[in-house]
Amino acid sequence: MRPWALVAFLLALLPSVLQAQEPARRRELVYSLIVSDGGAYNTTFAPASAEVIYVFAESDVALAPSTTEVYFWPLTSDWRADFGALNEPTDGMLEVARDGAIVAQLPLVDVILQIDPMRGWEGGRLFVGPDAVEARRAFEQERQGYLDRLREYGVVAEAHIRQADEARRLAPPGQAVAIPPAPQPPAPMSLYSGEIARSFHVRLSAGEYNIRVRAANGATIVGSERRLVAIAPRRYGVVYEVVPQEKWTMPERADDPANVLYVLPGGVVYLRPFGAHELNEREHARLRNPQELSGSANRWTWVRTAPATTLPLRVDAGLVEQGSFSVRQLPGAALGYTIVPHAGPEAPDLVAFRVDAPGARGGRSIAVTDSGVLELPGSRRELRAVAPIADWQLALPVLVPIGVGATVALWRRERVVTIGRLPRERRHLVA
Amino acid sequence: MRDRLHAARTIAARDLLGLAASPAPYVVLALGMLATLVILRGHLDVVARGQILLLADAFTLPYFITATIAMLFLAISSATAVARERDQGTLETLFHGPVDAPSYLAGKELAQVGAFAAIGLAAALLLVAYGGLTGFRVTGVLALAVLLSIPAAGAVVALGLFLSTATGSVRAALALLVAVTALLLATRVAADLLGGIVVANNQSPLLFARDLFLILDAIAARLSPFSLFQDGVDAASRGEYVGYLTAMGVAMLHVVALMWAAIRLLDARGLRG
Repeated sequence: MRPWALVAFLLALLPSVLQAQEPARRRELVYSLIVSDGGAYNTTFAPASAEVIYVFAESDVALAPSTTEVYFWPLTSDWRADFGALNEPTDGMLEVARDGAIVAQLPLVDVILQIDPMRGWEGGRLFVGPDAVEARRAFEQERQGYLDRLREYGVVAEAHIRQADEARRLAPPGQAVAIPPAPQPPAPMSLYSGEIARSFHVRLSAGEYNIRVRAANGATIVGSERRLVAIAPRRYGVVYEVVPQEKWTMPERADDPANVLYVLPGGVVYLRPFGAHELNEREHARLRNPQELSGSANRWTWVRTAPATTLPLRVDAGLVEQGSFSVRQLPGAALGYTIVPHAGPEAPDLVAFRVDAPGARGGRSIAVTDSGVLELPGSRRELRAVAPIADWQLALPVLVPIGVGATVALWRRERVVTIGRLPRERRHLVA
Repeated sequence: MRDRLHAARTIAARDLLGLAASPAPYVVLALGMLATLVILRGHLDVVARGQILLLADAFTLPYFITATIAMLFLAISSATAVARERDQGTLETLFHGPVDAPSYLAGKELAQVGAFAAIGLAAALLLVAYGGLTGFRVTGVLALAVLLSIPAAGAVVALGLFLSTATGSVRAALALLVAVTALLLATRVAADLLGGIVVANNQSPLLFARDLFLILDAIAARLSPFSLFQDGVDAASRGEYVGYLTAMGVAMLHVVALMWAAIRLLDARGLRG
């Protein structure tokens, strides 16, 4: 083949190769969602392929329908939305029906999601209506104040550097230079805010609903019909993050209220309690992402809502306060460390309740209490010390039924009269 | 009615004594304790090596295994006994006396359930002994599990009796019973195992199998005595006593329905093999 022909052939192939890398797109109505699992808010979207939208019962939810371009992304096996290419908000009223009866007709309102750990909004807070506008205004004001403080700090810091340089320049050689302390930067801004969005604000009791958007002329907007399931927890309780002293980097989770913490006698654990509720694993996964397939319907998961570390922990009859601890590597080449009470300006490695197991076999009762008196429901656990025992001791309960069975068999053999065991004259008689 | 009760009691007592004198119940119990040994040895190993073990109930699974072995043994025993007695003509001889289908099958059921209750109680006592030996906590859920396992065992035995009356020979009864119980157990085990598969990026070759077995398990949950037993004990461990009592009630319904069907079949098919 001639070189020009080869080049022409390759050029002819190029468009098809490029086309193969771009997934096919289609226009459809999707719902952008701001949903909470009772612990934290999450933003996601539900394409048409996600026929069911899961929300947490009795929580504020924002649903924003819009027409956009979606494409299937094979790497993650889900549909992606390209809001940059197309984002046409859908106007109308959201109709929520249950068992065929309309339970709510909702207009579009302003919503905004803000997160601020300093205000106790670690999981986010959804502002709706005029509150959303006010929250955004407060955020912008706070941001402006922070930027002003940052700017002022920049000026002061620059002046401080100049001052220090000048002092060094003027100081006689070999003499210590007295430099004024450096200015402190402003505390970082802890508030995060999204943009105001036009959404339907929904707050539903547990159950199954049908939703659709009606246009101003009363017609149902095509593609807006979905099933909406408001899920409620199966149980509420307190879950613990358990940090064993011997492997503090590998915490375990004592989620189920029936959990017992078994350790060796004299073992030490550090506990971090959290308020929590139990959700179906599949429903929880679909709530976080309507396209998620990982959750299984026959499994349950505990979702943390808030730390319960400010409340005292009752261990047997006494109260234990939360402590700060540091991890110190043991000197030498060998692996090992020790956990000691924290002292010093640096942040502690571990902030938790320290609980010591009994020195011999036995148990200690643990519970989070409300001001040391009332026990929080679902917070009780037991810390039990178990010691290894010899294998032969473990085999004893296996031998008991064998022994009884053998005794019964021997007894039965004694009772059964066979021809062979009869005296000779009796045997003749029988014969 | 009095005659019927007397006949049922006599058959039950005879069968129960026969079972107690045979080595099988003791072997079943020893097998259950052997499974317990393996499980508890593993738990102790985790504590010794990993320094910590988080466990809801150390004895629910061992009891479930022991009870399941006992249920299977008794179901097989009842299925083969009825089929054999019919094959050998014993049934015909018995029915010439004051014995009829209800009293005969009720006697069989009572004997097997009585034997199971004894095995269950003995297993519970041995598990309490294990608790004392190891230091693992024995909770009240064990007592509830023992209580629920009795109607569940009744349902399994009734299934065995039903299948033995529905088939023509010992071999057929046994094969059918093994097939049905294996299917019910496999459905639950498969659903449990597949429920824990790791799905990365929404992709797993087992996704379809998982969803299929979850549907099958949801159907079997009301039909399988094993699932009723497990779900009831799970409900009790969560403190949901309505769920526990529902499981117990449904298991009792199984017994009634299967026994009724077995009586009708025995009457309809006759006493000869």
